[in-house]
Amino acid sequence: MEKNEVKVMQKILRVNEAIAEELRKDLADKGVFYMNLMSSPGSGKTTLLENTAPKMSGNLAVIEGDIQTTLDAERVAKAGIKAYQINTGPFGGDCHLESSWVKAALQEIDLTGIDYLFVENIGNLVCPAEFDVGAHTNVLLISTTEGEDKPLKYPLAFRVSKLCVITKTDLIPHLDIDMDLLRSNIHKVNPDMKIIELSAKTGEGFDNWIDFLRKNKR
Amino acid sequence: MHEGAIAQALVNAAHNVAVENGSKPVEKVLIVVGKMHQIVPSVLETYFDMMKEDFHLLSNAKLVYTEQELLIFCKDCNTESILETYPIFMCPKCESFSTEVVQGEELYIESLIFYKEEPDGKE
Repeated sequence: MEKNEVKVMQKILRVNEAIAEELRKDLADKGVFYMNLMSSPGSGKTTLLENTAPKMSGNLAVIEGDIQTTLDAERVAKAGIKAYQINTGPFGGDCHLESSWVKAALQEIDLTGIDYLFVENIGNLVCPAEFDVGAHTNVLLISTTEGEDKPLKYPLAFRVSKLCVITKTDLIPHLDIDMDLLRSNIHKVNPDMKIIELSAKTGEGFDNWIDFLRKNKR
Repeated sequence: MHEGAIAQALVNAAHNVAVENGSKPVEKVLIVVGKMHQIVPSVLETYFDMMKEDFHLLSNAKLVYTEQELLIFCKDCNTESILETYPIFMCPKCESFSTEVVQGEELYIESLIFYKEEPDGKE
């Protein structure tokens, strides 16, 4: 070590991680199960939430992250979910949410009576995987139209998530997707990953998602 | 794009360390980045060079980037290996998937090196 060198050994994202830990603990203390939904744009995060609400007796809250528009917040609010929209566009168009954004959003949401909180992260499989938002579980969505190779192309998103929800299974007969290969690729990257396959359109497999939520109720 | 947010956190942290250590101008910021992170070094450096201008102690600092290899431990054969098949987390010795990452997730500032003398053109 040079004389004029000072050892630091400090995590670059330690501020984000400290706030994330605080959120994780606060929400657990409040009895709220907090999930961070990540996926490519258009995988069906908002549709999953819209279809979850009628089956969960209105005890959900969602923080929507998008670069622009309040369209998703409007959609989930219509489904009876308490919604708060974050737009990153005016602040440089960040393509992910950080824990401080979620903390600020939570100042605006009354969590009384809320059992489940979702962050619907910005549609992107790269950047959101780098930032801990303090969720109790990261949930990754992938739709059948995206093919089999996403886990291999975006491994970090699959490594930091515990549950993979494969959406739009009603489309399988119209696609060339090899579902066994998709499942195998998921488990090559994250052998412990739980998989739920569902169609929000037909309702097939949706009960497995609802069971997952009920089992994790605090 | 996440490189921008990481660079911002990096310059904030490096500046705080410089202030805590006598507010001397910084020559080098050494960071260690595990292979799991999806960071493009040249993009991070570009953001770093842009954002360091906000901090006079960092304005002549160079970013020194070290990538950390991915190491896994196999719970079946109890051995540690470099994961050359990344992103497939399989033990190269026994082909088990019962593995855990022991190195490669790091993202930290290792050290700061200060100028011995003031850099040219700076007070």
